[in-house]
Amino acid sequence: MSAIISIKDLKMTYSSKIRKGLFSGAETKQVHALKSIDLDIPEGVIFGLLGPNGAGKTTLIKCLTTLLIPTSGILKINGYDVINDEKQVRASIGCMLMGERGLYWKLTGRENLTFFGRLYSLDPDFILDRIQYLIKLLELEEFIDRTVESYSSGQRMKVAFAKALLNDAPVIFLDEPTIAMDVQGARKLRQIVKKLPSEGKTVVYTSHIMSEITELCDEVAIIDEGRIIAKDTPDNIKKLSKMERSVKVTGVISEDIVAKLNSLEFVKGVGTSQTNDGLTSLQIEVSGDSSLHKIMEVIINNGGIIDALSRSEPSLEDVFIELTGRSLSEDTRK
Amino acid sequence: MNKEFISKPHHTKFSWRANWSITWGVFVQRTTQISRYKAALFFDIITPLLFSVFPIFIGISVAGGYGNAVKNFQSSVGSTTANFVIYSILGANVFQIINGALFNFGFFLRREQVTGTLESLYLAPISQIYVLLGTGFYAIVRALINFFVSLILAGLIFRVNPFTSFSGVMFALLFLLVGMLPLYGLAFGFGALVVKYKDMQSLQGIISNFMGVAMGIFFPITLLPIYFQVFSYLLPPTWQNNGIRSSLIGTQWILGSWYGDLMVILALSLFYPLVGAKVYSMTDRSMRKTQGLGVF
Repeated sequence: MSAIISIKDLKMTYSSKIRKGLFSGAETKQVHALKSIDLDIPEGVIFGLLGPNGAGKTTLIKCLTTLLIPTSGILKINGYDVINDEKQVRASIGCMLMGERGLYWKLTGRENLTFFGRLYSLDPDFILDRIQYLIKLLELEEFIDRTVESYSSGQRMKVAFAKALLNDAPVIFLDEPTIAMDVQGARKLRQIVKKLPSEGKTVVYTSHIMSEITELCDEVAIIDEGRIIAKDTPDNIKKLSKMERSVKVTGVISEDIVAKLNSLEFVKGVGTSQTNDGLTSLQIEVSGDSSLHKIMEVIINNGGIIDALSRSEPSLEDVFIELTGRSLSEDTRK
Repeated sequence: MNKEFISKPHHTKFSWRANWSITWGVFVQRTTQISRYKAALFFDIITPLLFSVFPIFIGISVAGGYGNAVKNFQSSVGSTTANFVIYSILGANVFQIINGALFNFGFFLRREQVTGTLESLYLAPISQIYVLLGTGFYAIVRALINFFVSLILAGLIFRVNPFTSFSGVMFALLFLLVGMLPLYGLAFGFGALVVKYKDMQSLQGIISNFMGVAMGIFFPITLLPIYFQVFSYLLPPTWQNNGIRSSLIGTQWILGSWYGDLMVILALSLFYPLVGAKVYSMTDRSMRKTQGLGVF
């Protein structure tokens, strides 16, 4: 399968000054921000990049978007070499990297979009049509002709998102796109992002919000200390966890049913307790390939009644903690 | 092993026409922005006016009256007709052009860096030269309007006429415009350094004041120590300022003729923009190999 984004042995090292005080001068230190990254991202997927602050996510995205020149490695986007075909790469990508900071605050949203359309050397008619389309899509009508300085953070993020979609590029980079948005705005953005692969777009998405990554991404790479430590679908990554998965069932459940559940191949054990209203509550420890359907079938076919049923499984965060011993919310910048 | 990816089409059109459209777009964008800072436009015009008040009144005060000030001044500049009021107004206006070159053009990269839009500019599939040209075009138009409006206002306030001959005005315009090229090249070099080393305010202050002194903002540069005059002759505003003054009020040409002075400015026009571009390209590469352009 061909990859629209291909990264081979990408390394990024730079020197950084450590300040020791007013009269002590500074010490130069080598920072290995990316240590041999290999990654292929197929066309038409939403690809999530996950990692704590300082893991190398932003450095990787900046290398891919030509904002940083890597120390070594081969990067290709849409078939173009990121180092040697900068302009073609930039024409092939839409970016929302700086959030609300990437806009001119003394211009209106429309003026901003028109200006960036020109910078992207888009056809004037295309710019006009595209802006109208984006205004409708992102519901910008109410504020698009006010200067950006008068916007709320969420409104600025919406216009920044519109800017990323403006050139209708085959690859879109979204770095924490919902960070300053209200719940409704974030949901709307996620709905739009979900549809992008059906239009042939590839989306590279970073977020600290686990539920967003799980909901949106077809594939996820977890980055830690400049290395990719896991890459797969969110479900397969969760399977890496050794944490117990369990199913909790409450209802009218006989001991006979409990015994039958215990005999299922994927069930490791069943704990029972009684609720205050006389119902039985089961805590069923299951292996990774558990089937909720099978559990329900056994209960119902044996005359049981299910009042409530829920499944608990490890999150991507749990997997990260197991793999690294740290939380995703930790700042690992050195 | 992956097969070679077949590039998907994008909407960017790479052409000369598109490049000039970027330059025009940048000019329109900058002009629209500044039109929303009306007070800044007003201050740009009155600043040289206020600035020229100091030397005019100090001159009168030190010389012991207007007549003595005129006589002393004309003996300093070697002219029997030069008007020291206009001389000071012109110096203040050229000084404002230096400030404008540094602030509106040279340091625009730094301002974009601080506001967060520099990375947005760099993400566009274009050569940054067209953005620079658009910004330069905007800065020059702004400087020209400021220069002439401020000069007319100063003339009305101080009751002097700097525009006595049409040819003088045309020559002044020529020196003003041609002098912008090396000045903007120099400002751009400083601007690129500021993107890396960050300290814009103090650098602007020291550079513009140094150039102001070196070009003879309110006095002939022959009054400066000889070693300092070497710097003066290396800096574009010295030739620009003197050219404008010689054209409008008949002070002496540095090399004795307008074309000699013009040749020097043209030579500097080849040198400084190249130096500016080189410094920019080195800074740009160095930034993108280390911390990135967005770090401010």
